[in-house]
Order: sequence, then structure tokens, then C-alpha cells
Amino acid sequence: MKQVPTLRFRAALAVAATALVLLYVPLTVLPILDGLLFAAPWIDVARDVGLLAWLALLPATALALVAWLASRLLARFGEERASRWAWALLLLPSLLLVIRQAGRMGWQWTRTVFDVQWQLAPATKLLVLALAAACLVALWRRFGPRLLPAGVQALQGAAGGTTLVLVLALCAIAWNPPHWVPMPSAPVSGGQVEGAKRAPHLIVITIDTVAAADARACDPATVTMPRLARFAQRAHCFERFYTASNFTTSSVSTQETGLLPWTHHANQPDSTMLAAVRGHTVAAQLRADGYRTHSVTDNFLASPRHRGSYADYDSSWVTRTALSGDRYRRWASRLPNTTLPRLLAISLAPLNWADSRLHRGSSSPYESEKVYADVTRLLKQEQPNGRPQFIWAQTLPPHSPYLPPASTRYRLLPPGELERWSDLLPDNIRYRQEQQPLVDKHRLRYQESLMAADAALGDFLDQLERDGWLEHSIVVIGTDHGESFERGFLGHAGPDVHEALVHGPLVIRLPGQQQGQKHSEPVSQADLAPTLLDLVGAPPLPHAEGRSLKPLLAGSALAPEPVFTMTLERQSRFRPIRQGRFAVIDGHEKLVLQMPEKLVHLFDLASAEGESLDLAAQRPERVMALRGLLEQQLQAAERRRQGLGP
Amino acid sequence: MHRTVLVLLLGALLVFAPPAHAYIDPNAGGLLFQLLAPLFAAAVGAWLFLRRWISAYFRSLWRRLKGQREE
Repeated sequence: MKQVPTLRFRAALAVAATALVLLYVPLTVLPILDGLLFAAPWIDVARDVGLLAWLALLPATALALVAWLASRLLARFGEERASRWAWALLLLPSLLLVIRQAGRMGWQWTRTVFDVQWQLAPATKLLVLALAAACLVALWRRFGPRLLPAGVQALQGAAGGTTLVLVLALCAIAWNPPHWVPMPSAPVSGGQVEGAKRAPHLIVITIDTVAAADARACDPATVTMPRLARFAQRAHCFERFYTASNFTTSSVSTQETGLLPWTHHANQPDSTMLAAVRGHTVAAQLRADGYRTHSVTDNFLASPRHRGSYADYDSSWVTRTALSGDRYRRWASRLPNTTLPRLLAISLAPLNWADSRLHRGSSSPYESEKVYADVTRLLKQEQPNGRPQFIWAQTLPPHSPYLPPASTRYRLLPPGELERWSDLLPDNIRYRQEQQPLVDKHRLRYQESLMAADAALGDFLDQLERDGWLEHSIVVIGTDHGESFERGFLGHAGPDVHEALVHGPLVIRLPGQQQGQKHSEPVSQADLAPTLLDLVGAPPLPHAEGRSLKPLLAGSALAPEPVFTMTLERQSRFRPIRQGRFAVIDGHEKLVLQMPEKLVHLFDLASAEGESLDLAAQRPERVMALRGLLEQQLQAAERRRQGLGP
Repeated sequence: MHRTVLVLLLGALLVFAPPAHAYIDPNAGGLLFQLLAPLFAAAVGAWLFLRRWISAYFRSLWRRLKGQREE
């Protein structure tokens, strides 16, 4: 039997660090490298991967320490045997992680290159498990004794490469150091401020993932959101509110800046907004006008820490969730100008396994109440300073997993189905037609989650009223995007822009408002920032693509204007705009342009068929007009992209 | 026997990866990845099988650079 070298701490550290830095980190980052380079310059990506490599030294050191301690403890059984066990203790978890990541990368590569769309049935999965286990047992029996010394030698031999990578990483970090932003990012003022501006507070509540058809917020008879509907009865309720995109990062960036996704370019999960527009936010304008500005959310993608606008807020708080992986991501969000939170989340994906089992049979790991509790705490802290407040709260429920709490579970779908996390289909997937009945059941659990989110919202609004905030605040309640259970797509994000994904609820209540009003004209998420600034008399955003809805809220008419929604997930911010799906909604007509194929579809949303019937061939003149409008806007967006830089 | 059980458990961990339950990067598996992934695999494979030759080459290069004679 081949001998293993005696385990010394330094050698153990070199081996563990090499396994993690030279193998695990690249295997983790490579599959998402294209996406990272779509959203950030390569020097930023190099720095962030460098940070990840240095962080990998923490588990490497822990492993080396455990292995070294084991070798000391086992020394009484002989140096050789102790070293063998200690090396095994060190190599087994490291190599297991590497093999897992290599398997995922290989699978991803095979699927991409050969365009394979395999979905394994449970029985096939079991067969694959049995085969994989048998192969591993056979390999271990055949080569086990030789694998350990060979593995140690191979990794020890590459330790020089690890040192080189870490030195290069350090150079990239030093060249472009990340910002450290504590949480909360600024001390809360404790006393009355002399001459503080007298203006209404602005409380913006964004409930993640609410489709208008499921919420029916303007309908007092709604089953899913009765508390919101009751609130809307003494507020302005918009029946046709369109989000700017179909997932959080992109749409929330529009809500904050008044700029559409083709201008702010926060269009991938890892994206920040373009550097040039990060100060072009409602928070920046309000702060300059004397407001205190705060963000509270349990959704990382909704936090200004994620999207690059954190400098415009006095505090940006990320509410804790029950997911263990989120703890590390939350910690990393203190480095907000990096993609480290995302990289860390992907690196720690093996923890998802524990999370999904910890939450088996229980409710969602996200709770709206926690976000509202953080907002309430913040309001109490801020009350004494007498300054007007801008608070933007975003809560994840009813976002998947659709695991409603006991208070609303089983109201629509009886027990026995879709009760555990593992029972649910994965998020954001295309599904086959024969799966529609199962997807319909997912929708019922989603609606139960929506009921719970509504109850939490109602309690929070009652609390605001009791504490006296409501009468002095403009309250905006909306969503960032919808949720699809139709047209072969479950969830959100992805390339589609059908109504379920981009049509959401919007309610705006002015201070002291008692009379409700419904509005049926299409309005855009890009209108929110200009509206808020206009309502409080703050300076407008100079380049906003939305418009103020204040005239509507004041009872006047507003000339109808088309609204736009889009998804640009495969569009690099460094290249001309050629990839994406764009929709323009003009009255009851909706034109969808699919690029680069340049396919167009026209729908009449007021007709019974809605988006099931393409009218493009029947109304060529409307196609030409709306397509011309879209292409004109796209050209303008492209000119802006070139002018704004990365 | 213990070893077999251990390996079976490890195999289960590998095969039963949980669903992502998060935004999947739509650009995962892009062109750069398609190019770099096999290169990375080739580099690791080359190191595993040719490391003695590679080490010897660099050692000899280092000695030459330092003006030492080959042994």
C-alpha cells in the first residue's frame, strides 16, 4: 500500500485550499461567468471571484485544523494510520464538494452544447442513484488505497498555483476595493431637527410576485386580498398597472429610477444598475429634499445593496429569513458593490439541501410579518427626529415556495397535496401541457400564500393607523411583477411578457383620503418615481421615462400614453440591444416584439380571447404603428446606452 | 461494510441535489462557459496525468534560470 505523507498543518492547509480555490471556486463560477460579464466589467468580476477565493480559505483552514487535530488525537495508533485517517477526513468533504460541482458543470455543459432537455422521473432517478453508488463502490474498492496518497500528492503539487491565484486575487481586490456598508448604513437620528421640512411621509410597500388576476385588489369581493381591497376603497386603485419587467431586479430598478430596463440595464439576477444612473433615484431626490430614506426587504434582489443605489439611502436593511444560505448572503450584502452575495449563495448551494428538508411540511421560509416588524421598529426609531420619512418595504410572500402558513393553508386546496417544499415543481420553468392540472394546484397554494400576505399587510396598515402614521403618509402598495401558471410557464422571470407576468395591482392613498377611485387606464411602474416626487413637491428625476400620475390622483384626466414592459435577460449591457422581448400596451392593444427573431404578435386585451388570439395578420396597420413606436424607443435606448457607459 | 454505507450515502448526496428555488441565471451555460469548461477540465486532467512531467519541467527551468546544473 502506498504511504501517505505525514499530516502537518501547513501541508493540510495547502491541500484543502488547493481543492477549494483551484477546483471548487472555478467549477462554481464558470457556469455563470457569461451572466456576470453581461452585467459588470471584467475587472469587477475578477475582484469578486478573488474575494470568493480568499473566503474559501476560511473553510479550508477549518478543515485543515480539524484534520490536524484528528492526526494528533489518533497518533497513539501509529503515525502512518493517524495521517491516513486525518488526510481522509480532510479530502473526503473537499473532494465531495468538487465532484458535486463538477457533475453540475458537466451536466450544464452537456445540456447546453447538445440542447438536451432531460427531466428524470423519480424511478429513473433512483436507477441513476443505484448506478452511481455502484460505480463509486467499485471505484473505491479498486483504487481506494491508492486514491488517498495520489490525491494528496496531486493537490500538494498544485499548491504553488493556489498561491499564485490568491496573490492575483489580492491584486484585483486592491486595484478595485469593495465598499463596506454596515447594516443599517447610517446612525438613526434621535432628536428633533430644527427647521425640518413639513411634508407627508412616503410609505411604499411592494409585495413580491402578485398577479393582478389573482389579487383583484380593486374588487371588494376579492377572496385573496380582502384587506388590500378594503384599503383600496378609500384610495386610488389602478386596474391596469404594468410592471416594467417580469422579475425583481429589473422591475424594482425601474420603480426606483423611473427608467425602463432598456435604460438602467439591471436585467440579470446579478446586475446592478448602470453606474451613471445609480444616483437617478427617487430616494436621492427625496433625501436632497430633506427626507430620511430607508429600504427594508427580505428579498436581496430588491435591496439597493444589490442594485447599486445603496448610497441614496440612510439605511438599507435586509430582513432575516429562515434559510441558512441567506445568512451568508446577508452578511456579504455589506459589500454592496460586489456580486459576492450571489457568488456566495451559489457556492453554498449544498446548504439548500438542508434548507429544503428543514422546511419540509412547514410553511415558507419567508414571512411578511418580519419585514413589517422591522419597518415598525424603524418608524419608532425615526419618529422623534421630526423629519419626513421615505420608507420602501418589499416582502417576499407569496413568492415561491408556495407554502402558506397554517392560518390560510387548505382554504383553497385540501390537505394531501403540495404540502412540502419537495412536492413543489421547481421555480420558473416551462411545463408540459399534461402538467397543467398540477400547475393549477400550485396556483391554489399560491393564492393561499397571497391570502396570508394580505393578512400581514392588513395588520401592518392597522398598526400604521393606530400609531398615527397613516393620516400623514402617502401610501403606495404594489408589486414588482406577477406570477404565471399558464401558457406553459410556471413562476416568473424567463423570456415571456404575458399578462400574468407583468400586470399587477397598484393602490395609492393620499393623506386623509376617504373616497376611493378606480382608474382603468394603463399605467407603468416607471410612473411611480415621478408621481411620488410630484406629490411631495420634490425636484423631478431629469431623465425619467415615466410620467407623474398626480393629475389623475387630483381628479383630472391624463392623456392616454402607451406603456412598455420588457425582458432583456440575454442582453449584455456592453453590446447593442438585440436580444429580448418587448411589449407596448396602447389602450387595449398589446404588441409583443421578440428579438432577435423580430417576430411580432398583436393582442386585443379587451376581447374574450385575450392573449390566446394573435391579431397581427388581421390588423397590419396597428402592427406597423406600434412596432414603429417600439423600434423608435429601442433606437433611443441604444443611443442612451452608448452615452451612459457601463 | 462501513465504507460501502459511506459511499452509498455520498452517492445519494450527489444524485439528489435539491431544486434551486431561486432565480436561475438565464445566461448560465453561455458561449464563454461552453468554451472554458472543457479547457478547465482538460487543464485539471493534464495536471492529474502529467504532473510529474510538468513538475520536472518547471524544476529544470527554475534551475536553469538560477544557473544551477542539472543533476
